[in-house]
Amino acid sequence: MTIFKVIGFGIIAVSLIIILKQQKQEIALLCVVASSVIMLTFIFDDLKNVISLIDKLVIDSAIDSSFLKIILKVIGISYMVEFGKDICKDAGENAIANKIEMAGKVIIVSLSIPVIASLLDIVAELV
Amino acid sequence: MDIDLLFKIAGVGILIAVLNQVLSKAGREDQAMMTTLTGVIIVLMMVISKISELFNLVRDTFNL
Repeated sequence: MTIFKVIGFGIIAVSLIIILKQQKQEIALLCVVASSVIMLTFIFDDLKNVISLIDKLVIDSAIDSSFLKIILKVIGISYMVEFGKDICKDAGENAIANKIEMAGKVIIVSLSIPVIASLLDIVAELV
Repeated sequence: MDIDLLFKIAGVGILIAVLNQVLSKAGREDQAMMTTLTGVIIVLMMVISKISELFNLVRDTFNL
């Protein structure tokens, strides 16, 4: 099961990072980055199954599939923003973490402009 | 599996730490600084290739 792989990998990574933290903070941080990258790749095959299932469901139903593309993009962006933000917070750089988060929010809002526009059209029709 | 990358990074880190101790005891502070820099660069190279691999994976799954 992938969950055991992830947990085992996390425990090993944390123990290595503690050893490195006393002598070399910079290499410990790089070890944090490497282990979080590898742990993310573990879950991607399950994620692909979920996304293909969602694609099938949306195609069968009458929902406009362009919204689904935007939703998937927003999900992907939020994963990566969280990934970068946590690493910066680990290194103690909260200012940079907040900048990454702010940039992520701006990009997500700019991506979801067509959705907001279509929502306003629907509301205008109702009125 | 990818666990060996983690052990490689930890190995380089410990090696650099030991080298630093030896060099600083021998009185060569500048060379100790140089070995730290080379160690960090080597580890950075390994990590950057992994990060680009992850970003390509994300780009494909979420067609960003």
